[in-house]
Amino acid sequence: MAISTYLTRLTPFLMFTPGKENAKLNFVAKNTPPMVMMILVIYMLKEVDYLSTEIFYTLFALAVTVGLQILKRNALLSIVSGTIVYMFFVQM
Amino acid sequence: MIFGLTDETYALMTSINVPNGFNKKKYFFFITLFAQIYWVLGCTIGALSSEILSFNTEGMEFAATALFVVLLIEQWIMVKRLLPFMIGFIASFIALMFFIDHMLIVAIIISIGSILIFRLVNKSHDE
Repeated sequence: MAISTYLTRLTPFLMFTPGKENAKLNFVAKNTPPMVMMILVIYMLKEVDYLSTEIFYTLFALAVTVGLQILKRNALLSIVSGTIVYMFFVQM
Repeated sequence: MIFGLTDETYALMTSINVPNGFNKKKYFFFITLFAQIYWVLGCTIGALSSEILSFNTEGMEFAATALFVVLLIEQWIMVKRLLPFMIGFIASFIALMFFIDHMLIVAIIISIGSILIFRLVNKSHDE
């Protein structure tokens, strides 16, 4: 287990020696975060049951998170507020 | 450092700028270190206090969704190009339709594959 973890993480460090800039790799590195964040958001939302009331409070909590983040740019505030809204509706 | 790399650490490293006057390697090392310390501390405190303290945590898993949404917005503010977001979006749905059990890995492979194809196509246009 530990060996395979170590191997998969060590390979890129060995393959690409530091200091040498690889144009293709730079391009991938620049574009990966937005792609991965998009995928992760959809991954988290795929469990939502779209035929129940769950969709309404999920969207509401998302709106709170997005709105606060755009207005205040404070990650902790957005996450905590969105989660509290979501928990309030789930437990109602 | 290699062992300490987690998805949250990766998300942080890709979205923050290293402040001036800081050594980049040291800065990233300490982010990794503190993330690991908080993780261990949080788990320990949680395990110890769970018997004393109990309240309804149902719905708390939304915090992870909210974190990724926040990071997505931050990425948008930084990148401001539609293409990678569109690719991620389309790749997710392809992966959801055909490989719902392994959705994450399939979506990531599709998206990295397609961004490379886009790069090749753009390059041949320039020539």
